[in-house]
Amino acid sequence: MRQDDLGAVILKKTDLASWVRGLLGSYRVVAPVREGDAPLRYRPLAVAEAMVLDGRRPLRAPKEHFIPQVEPLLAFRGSGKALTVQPAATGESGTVILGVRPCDARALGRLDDVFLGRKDTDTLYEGRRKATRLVGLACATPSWGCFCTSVGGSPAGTEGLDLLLTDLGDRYHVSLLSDAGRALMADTACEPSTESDAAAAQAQHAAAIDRMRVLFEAEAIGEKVEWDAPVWMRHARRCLACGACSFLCPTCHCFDIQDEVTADGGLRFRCWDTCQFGEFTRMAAGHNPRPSQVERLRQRVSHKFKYLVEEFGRMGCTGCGRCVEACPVNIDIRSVLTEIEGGER
Amino acid sequence: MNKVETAIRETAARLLGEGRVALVLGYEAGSVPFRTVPAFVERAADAERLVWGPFCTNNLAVYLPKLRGAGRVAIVAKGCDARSTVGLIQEHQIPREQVVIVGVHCSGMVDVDRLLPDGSLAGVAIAAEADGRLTVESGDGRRTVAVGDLLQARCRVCEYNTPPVADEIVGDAVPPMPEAAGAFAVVADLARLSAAERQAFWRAQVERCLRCYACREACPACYCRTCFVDKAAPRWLSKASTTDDNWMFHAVRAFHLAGRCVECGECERVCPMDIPVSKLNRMLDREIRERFGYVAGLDPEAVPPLGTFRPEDQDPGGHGG
Amino acid sequence: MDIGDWDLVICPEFGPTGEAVSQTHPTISAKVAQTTWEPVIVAFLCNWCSYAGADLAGSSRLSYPANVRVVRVPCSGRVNPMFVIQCFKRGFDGVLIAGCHPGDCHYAKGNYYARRRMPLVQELLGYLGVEPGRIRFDWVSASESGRFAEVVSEVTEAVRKLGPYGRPSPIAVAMLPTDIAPVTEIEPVHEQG
Repeated sequence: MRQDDLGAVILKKTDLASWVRGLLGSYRVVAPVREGDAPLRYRPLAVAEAMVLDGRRPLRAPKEHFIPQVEPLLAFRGSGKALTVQPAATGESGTVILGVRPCDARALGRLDDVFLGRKDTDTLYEGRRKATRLVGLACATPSWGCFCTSVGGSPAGTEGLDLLLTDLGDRYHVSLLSDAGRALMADTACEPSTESDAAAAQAQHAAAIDRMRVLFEAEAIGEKVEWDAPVWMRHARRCLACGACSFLCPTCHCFDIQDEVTADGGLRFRCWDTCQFGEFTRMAAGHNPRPSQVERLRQRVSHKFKYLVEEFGRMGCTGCGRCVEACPVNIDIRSVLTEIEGGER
Repeated sequence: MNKVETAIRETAARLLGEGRVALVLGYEAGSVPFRTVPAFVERAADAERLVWGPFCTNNLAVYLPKLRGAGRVAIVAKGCDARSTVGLIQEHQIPREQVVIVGVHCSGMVDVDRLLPDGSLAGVAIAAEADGRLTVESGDGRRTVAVGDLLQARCRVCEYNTPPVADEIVGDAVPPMPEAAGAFAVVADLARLSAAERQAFWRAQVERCLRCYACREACPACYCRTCFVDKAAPRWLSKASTTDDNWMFHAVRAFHLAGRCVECGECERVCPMDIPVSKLNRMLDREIRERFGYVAGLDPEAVPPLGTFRPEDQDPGGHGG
Repeated sequence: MDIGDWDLVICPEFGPTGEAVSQTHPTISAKVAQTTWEPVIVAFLCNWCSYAGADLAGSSRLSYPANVRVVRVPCSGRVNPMFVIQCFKRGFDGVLIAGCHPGDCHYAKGNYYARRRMPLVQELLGYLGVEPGRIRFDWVSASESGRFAEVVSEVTEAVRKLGPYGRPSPIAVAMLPTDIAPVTEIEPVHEQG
């Protein structure tokens, strides 16, 4: 796993494609790609040239490669005593995800709390985590919703990464962050990083950090969350109860389990769900303890900034800003938190 | 000076102050200069919060069904929003007497993605100039842009930028949108492809659907308490985001909107995956116009075309299509 | 044996271990390769007219293709457009909707509503890439046994020419290898405790 800084190397951009090709020889490689007019998304690469490392962070987080939107759990065939049940395989082929933003890598640590940190390990998730290496890309230009520095993160954060690439124009500064990361660079011709390279990378990191103001003291916000505060109504009144925020969020992880059945067999799978849907807490008898968006926004914010802190000691938000940018009615969690903290709206 | 904004504030303050309405639905400033948010103003003194500009994109009619019976509501309505309101009145989702439509002449809304296509918009400052241009200051410098060059696609082809039904009208009359005659051009483009190409196109689009239902929730015409996707008996489609199920979701939603969609385009704007949802709705709207001569949202007394029939309607003619 | 060995098509975009796999008409080439492919067409027949007409065709021993699967409905106006869309989601090759002639509807008006809805469904699905020939909407009365046979023949031939539609049924659980003995107890998937 992670060790202290193992040094850094320089990967010229002209060598990037051949490095990726080398990885493709041994791993399944996932990276941001642009398919037609679709937003950037982490997808398995067929060829190195399909990768897009420029631009803003992909709108869809890499969490879908650890908890897919739809995931078979088991299949069954037959009926009654003649029933055959086949659980999903938990193995996974070696995977490298390229271009992971520091907020997303940190977010996977939050998913680990939920899926690995309890008495029963989620073996499907565990299989994928163990088999996947993460190659990070420092953010040069934060997106307009980004606020990682307000929740203890950084556009150049290394938490959870095996390598961190910093774009220096014609080359990447590659921080080696783990043995596995170092192994990924082993077969590539790269020079060690010089002091001026390191300084250039540092300067870029600092500039990116400067582009975001720290808006609130996230560590302390959990205690300020109040059940009956007017902040919920003020922001939730316009909420449309869609799932955009939760489905794009790199730490949101709620799922539903469903069976699809035919006459002679079927499949049990899990799929993403969200506490923002009206149906989420509706009980069989029709009672719904969270009957409106007011309760649901309160739940979302409290879960991320209070309950998860109480349970695991860490917030369920890494400040990626996707929810801010995707919300159809501009419910900005930064505004909500600022108001909770007692600052100006 | 934004005369329309001032007029909206004055109108809202008057309606609330006179007790004519209990609530004004309008727009107020968002968390960033290029967004506004739906505003719920209940006191005349709060009318100052209301704004008007090229970022007032949301269709506020979506909030009306939930407000039924809660006192009279004034809605600041662009042409599309007014048509949606009319649609809701037609379908008895809100009584005509409960709504005061404050119509606003509209010259279109900015497509935020086109505002600074390569930049992040972080820290950007936007100022509206008197001549309708915007000054945009970002880390890359300062530039002035014409709103007309940045319009959302749905606005460029809008045929009803003057609200067709309104209790009060605010603002000076504006010319029709420049491409209003080309409202169905996108439909024609897709129709030129072969069936196999269209199949491939739509499957590629819906493959990335997350089933977040932002499109459904942003749509004023989607107000069913239990949507077909949430029904367990009968079970129409899976909650899983497979291409087949996503395909069915979008096909059925488009059909449910046939004759009811006003092409406000919010469904497409709010989709996080940039799925061209409104291309589907537009296609059916064109069919409805050609077959029944009906345009949604113009007449609160009209019966929607699929809720009625005429004995002289066209017969199927023996062969499909 | 792995879940991946099963021809499960519910999640065509994600393989058994969650990786995305591209999926383009996986069953079509297998189907087309078999010269034994036969169109499968769902026929929604209204009880009072077209179903009776079909019944009469049967008792008259009229011959027509056996490619239709009949769903009897009270009235063509009961045919929810979602039925038609769902048929194509499930991978059927064609859909026939047959009702009473205008003016003859047992419920007076049902077929008039169908007459507005069904062509719109055809248009919508056509726009989505379902060839128009796959959906046939027509009138067949209770006495028109010959016409029923004719309509079925026509739509079957039209669909046969178009080939399989072939979207995999999303909950198709294909054949288990026959050499696996059924279990008599269900093993727990995860260990207890």
